[in-house]
Amino acid sequence: MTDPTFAKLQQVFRQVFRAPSLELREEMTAADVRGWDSLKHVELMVAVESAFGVRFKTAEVASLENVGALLGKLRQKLAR
Amino acid sequence: MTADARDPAALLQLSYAELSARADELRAAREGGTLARPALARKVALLSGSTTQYLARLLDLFLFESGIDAALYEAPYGSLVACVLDPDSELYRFQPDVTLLLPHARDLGPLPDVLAPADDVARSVERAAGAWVELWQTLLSRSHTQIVHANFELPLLRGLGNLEASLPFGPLAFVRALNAELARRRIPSVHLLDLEYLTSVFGLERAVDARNYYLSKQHFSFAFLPTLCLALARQVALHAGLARKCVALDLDGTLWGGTVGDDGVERLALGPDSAEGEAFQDFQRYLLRLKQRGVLLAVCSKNDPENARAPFERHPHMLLKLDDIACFVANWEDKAANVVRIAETLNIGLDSIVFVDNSAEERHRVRGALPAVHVLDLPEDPADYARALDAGAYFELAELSSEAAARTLSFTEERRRVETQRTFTDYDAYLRSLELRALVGPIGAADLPRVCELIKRTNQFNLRTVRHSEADLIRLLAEPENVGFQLSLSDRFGSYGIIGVVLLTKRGDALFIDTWLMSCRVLNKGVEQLVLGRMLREAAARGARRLLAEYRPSAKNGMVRGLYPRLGFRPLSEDETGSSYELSLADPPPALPHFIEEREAPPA
Repeated sequence: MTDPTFAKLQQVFRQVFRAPSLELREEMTAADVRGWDSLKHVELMVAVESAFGVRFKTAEVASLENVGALLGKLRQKLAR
Repeated sequence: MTADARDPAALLQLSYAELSARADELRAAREGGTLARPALARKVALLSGSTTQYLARLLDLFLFESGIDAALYEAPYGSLVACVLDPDSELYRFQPDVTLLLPHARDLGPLPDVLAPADDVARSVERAAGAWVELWQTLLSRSHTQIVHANFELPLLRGLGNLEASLPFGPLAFVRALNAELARRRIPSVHLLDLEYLTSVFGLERAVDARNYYLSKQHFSFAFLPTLCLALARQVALHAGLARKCVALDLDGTLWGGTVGDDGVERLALGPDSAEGEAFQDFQRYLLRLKQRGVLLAVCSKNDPENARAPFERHPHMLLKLDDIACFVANWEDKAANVVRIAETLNIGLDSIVFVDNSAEERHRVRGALPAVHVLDLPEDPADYARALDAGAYFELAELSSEAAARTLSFTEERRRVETQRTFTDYDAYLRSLELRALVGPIGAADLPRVCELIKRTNQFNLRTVRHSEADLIRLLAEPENVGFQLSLSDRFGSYGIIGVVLLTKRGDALFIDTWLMSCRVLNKGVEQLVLGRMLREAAARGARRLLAEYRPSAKNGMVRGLYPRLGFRPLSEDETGSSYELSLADPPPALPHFIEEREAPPA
């Protein structure tokens, strides 16, 4: 996978969940990642925001279903 | 755990992600029984209007870096008041040493109605404060705990615009009045954490985060948590007897601009004559305030004692006087050893000391040798000194009594012990860690301006204080019986540039040291030994059988009075103009060790 957004997002996941070998997949959900609970989710979103220089709306943070949805939102914001 | 940060203030440099990782490591180490350092066990209860999970993890780390191995109890979300009122709550079974009460603006209760009469507003302020006072009393009657209560930050939103500040019924006026009322009605064992101040310094808009509250019921932003944790950790540490008590101060470049030994008292930057001088004076003003409330001030300076004292005695803009200094240490020894001496003289622990020095290298030395001492990362600009010291909140105190303020006085009377020689066995290790590199070479045309400046200005490490002019120097260097060299030095912190000048001249069977001067910043790093080795080689190359040397005392070169004997020279004669020495090449002293990588400077 050479997509820089994907690679950078994977880095953020690895750091936030302290899982240096975590392999990100689009269909991945909170249930697939150890420690990804609702509190960690907010921490993750803040880390993604600061890594990419974007801001998610409250509803966006609350509603993202899986990694693919997050990537979609992220690309949408980066394209603007 | 890494061992570099032993004071929680250093953690403020790290990002939230890094702090979070460190907090996880701490937890893992505790569970694995492999904590990096011993720490005092303390039970800390956290009662907050917000969710506490984010805060608690970080607080654990900040407490550990303060020397406290905390057992943390987090009251369930929304139970701040309930768990105090319920005599059977977990809180009381936990038996906290310190209870942190962190209500937030949403716990303020009903705010006054628009246009509510001033009397009604005053009554609701009283009522709101009274409810907190009752809560304190209940908690204290059931538990031997200290209470740290955060007051309220100012409301971010101003529905009344600037009228908020004028009209008593506005939320802004209400919060200000409530905070003042809480301070007025504070009772023993209750300590207010001034969140109003903390958020205003940090930036209220950055400190609170509405989205965070909606999503996870956390009132504050992630960015503000470290600042809040530092303030909380300082309070807990204070009640564990771990607040710092003494600030050990360097002089040149720290209390005034310039070098007193070289520039003289009159030419120091201090006072209203220069912008920088004003900054140094303001820093002294701040230190004086610390002293007046009982913080001990100590001086730790590499200087001749007379030079070091001179500005205190006769600089017109010096705010600090000798009587303000509880322990005054000025000599040419290792600073780490001198900090130990200060601690012993004042009878305080090394963990009571904050070390303030503008030299990165001295800070590195003390940090490496004395991990218990907190070494302040002093900014480069003296305009920022006071704030850097203040922001660390090192000297928190629970109460201010006239006894505490009088403490410095008794120390001042007890000070000044016989100076004892003290060496550090690991000084060599320190020198190695500096990665010193010297470039030695002839004095080329490009070096002349700096070399001449050194000849003109160096007062302290100057054996004969002969002030050759530039023209003289050029002429002397052209004559075959003379040889000169200059030396520049660098270490892991950067380059010092040219710091030494030597001029040797052939006299019969001897090579005479006409000029040897060095910047005193490089004293005790082995440079003397290196220069001597070079002089011996120059002598051998010219068929000389000995080195001939002279020390001529001046008003300012006392620090090199004993240099030649220390390097193994034999005294020849002594009179009022100076002392003569020789060192035979047939009987050279064993090569003196140094840890400097020596290289030949390329021809200029």
